[in-house]
Amino acid sequence: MNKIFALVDCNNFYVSCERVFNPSLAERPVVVLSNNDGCIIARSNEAKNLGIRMGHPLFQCRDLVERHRIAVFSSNFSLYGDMSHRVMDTLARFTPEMEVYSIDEAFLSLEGVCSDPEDYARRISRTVKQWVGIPVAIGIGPSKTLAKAAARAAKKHPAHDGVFDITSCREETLSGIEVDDIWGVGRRYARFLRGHGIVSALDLARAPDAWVKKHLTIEGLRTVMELRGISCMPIDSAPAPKKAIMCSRSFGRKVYSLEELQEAASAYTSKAAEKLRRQGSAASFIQVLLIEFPFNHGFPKCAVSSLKIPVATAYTPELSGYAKTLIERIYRPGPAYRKVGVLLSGIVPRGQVQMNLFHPSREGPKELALMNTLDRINTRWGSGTIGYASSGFSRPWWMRQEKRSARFTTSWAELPLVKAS
Amino acid sequence: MKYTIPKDTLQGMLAKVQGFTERKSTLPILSHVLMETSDDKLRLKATDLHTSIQVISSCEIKEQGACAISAKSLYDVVRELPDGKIDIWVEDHTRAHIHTENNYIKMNVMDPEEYPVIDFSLAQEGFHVPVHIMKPMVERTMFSVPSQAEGETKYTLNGALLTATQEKKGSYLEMVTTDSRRLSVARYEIDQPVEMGEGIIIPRKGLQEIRRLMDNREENASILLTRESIFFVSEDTRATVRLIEGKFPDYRSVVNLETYPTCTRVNAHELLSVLKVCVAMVSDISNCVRFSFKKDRTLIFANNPDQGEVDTEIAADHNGEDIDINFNPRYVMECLVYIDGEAHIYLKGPQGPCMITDGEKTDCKWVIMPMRV
Repeated sequence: MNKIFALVDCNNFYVSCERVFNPSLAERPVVVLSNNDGCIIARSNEAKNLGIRMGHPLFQCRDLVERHRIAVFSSNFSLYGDMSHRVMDTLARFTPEMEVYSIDEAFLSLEGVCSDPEDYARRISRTVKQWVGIPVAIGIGPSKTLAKAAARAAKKHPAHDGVFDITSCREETLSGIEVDDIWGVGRRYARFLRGHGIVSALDLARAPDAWVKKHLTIEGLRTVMELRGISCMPIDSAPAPKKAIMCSRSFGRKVYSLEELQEAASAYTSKAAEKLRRQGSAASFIQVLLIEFPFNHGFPKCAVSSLKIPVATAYTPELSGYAKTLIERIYRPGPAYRKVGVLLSGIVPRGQVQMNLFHPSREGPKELALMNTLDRINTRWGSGTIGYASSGFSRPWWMRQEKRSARFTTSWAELPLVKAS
Repeated sequence: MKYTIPKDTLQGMLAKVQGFTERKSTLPILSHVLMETSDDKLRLKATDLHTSIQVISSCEIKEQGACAISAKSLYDVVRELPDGKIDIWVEDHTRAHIHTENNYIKMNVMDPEEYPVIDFSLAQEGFHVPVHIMKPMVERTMFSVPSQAEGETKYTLNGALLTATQEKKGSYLEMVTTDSRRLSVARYEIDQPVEMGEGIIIPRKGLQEIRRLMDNREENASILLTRESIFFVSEDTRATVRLIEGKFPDYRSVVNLETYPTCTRVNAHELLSVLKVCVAMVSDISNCVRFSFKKDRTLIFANNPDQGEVDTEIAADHNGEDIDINFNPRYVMECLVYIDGEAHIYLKGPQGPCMITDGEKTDCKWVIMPMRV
């Protein structure tokens, strides 16, 4: 049986999330900023048409913002994460086999679930728009790579009305896609392929197998087979747990004191530990990094310190303790610091932790229950509802989010109010 | 310097010194072997400043001299040469010429004066341990020294503790290693009592190299232990390893049999073959096998969602309460290969350590920590 994949891609996802709760933003240029309100990380189509590029620093386009009344928002990841869950929950109703690929993308297997994939995709698109309020583009193809290419075409060409099936016009579509835009072809490979006269996706699909395998490895050959319509990458419904978890943020202001740095390290460790527990893992290695403000020295100085954890753990107080010790180890009084990061690695399943002869585990049944309770409270009542005092209360160092919209769906206090007169 | 030597002799000498060089050092000369001639002998020396070796062989010396030459490159070259005699000479301390019937190779050399001075003279104090005692002790414990990649943060764990004890029955040498997840103890009787205080710690690399030299089964080889170093001494080879200073963790309570209330007796070979099957099944990430110790049998269960599962039962004699416990199967296997008949598995409970011995014999004990589920 021929395989049928659909890639559902939310249009300008962060902007769309902001528009759901603020209808006045419709047809108005909107941009969303990165953490600390530094650069533009999402743009509405109207903003794109004004020439605003991805990653553009906000201070460089202040004039444009004022002249065109561009709506500017700080990133609101609580809202985006929750809206993403809603989209994925909706999509899951349409197929038993689904792979959540990123916050705004999911692969669906349409094999055996419908007779007319294009019509089915339009139904999916309508439902997501109606139930969640997010517009999506859907690409359909016999492989995941082709579905991805089809989704791109669906977004680019208004004539497709958000849904495009590449199956019947594969070669024609691939000839219009540059080799740089193929899913799985990175910048270096693209440069290499161009050097060998392979410019479009169709050129790559027609390249000899032996040559591809030699120069792009087996992964490259897999991509080529997929471009030819032979599926080599199945739907991965249960993605492998992450091998490392990093949590780092720039501060909203210069930070000088060890206490504040330790507070920040503790807060980021709590976040990372929460992610660790969510995927059912424990970490056996922790690393912290501390970055200074550059001042006149050119490149900012960065100090790194790491520690091997005797018994892998996901217990927040234990991990926070290590992080604070590591910060103390690399802290120098005097310079202003702009960023702290915490990396947890050496990740093992939480249910298979190797015990140590000389260091008893600090994560007993009580601690496991405590972490479970903490996670459940924060899941139910919103992230940060309950946490450790070592992570700070007022957090004056916290990143700037001056233009953040309300957490409409995850905080009781910020629920949108509807007034009837 | 100019000499002629049979290929096999030179190859054997070079093979011995390879492990003693240090290719990643900031001092390039440490990746070289020092080649010296004196009278009718060729002497090769290598060192990484912690472990050093000197190998001597008779050969036809035509001109006395010395040079330092890349140990690996020379070994790779000599290995590929045809059997027969090799002529080697050095010109102006810059180039070594290697000549056989049809091959003529030139290799760059370094100034021998730059080579570190190594003292191979044997210490007056210290005592000799026969290889037949040292070798099994090292073999039965070596695997639980942390690997270089693991780099145990506690420095003294990166080696083996060697202590001497005096009991009513006799005098014993005891070697202990641990990577903090398991601990191995091997004890062998010696002829005469020895005073070693709290013991000496032999670093991992030195232990590996001494073991390799012991594997060569050289005649009249022995090990000399002193306070600062350990020596391997044979007719033509002398190797020295500088010891680690520090305190090894207290392990006595962990290996005390009386603290283990439960014991299972199983056939070691049978258990080993079951575990080999389990290892083929479990992945590196979920490297865990469940043991269910019951009155008359032991159940072994391994599960890998990507591949399948192993569910096996073997006969056993178990006293005490039933216990379910999880282990890394490789740790258990590494002990079982040294047990011929019945393995005794002593347990404290599902979260406590387990100790394995070769039947009633307690010369060798292996303690393994379980995995928390």
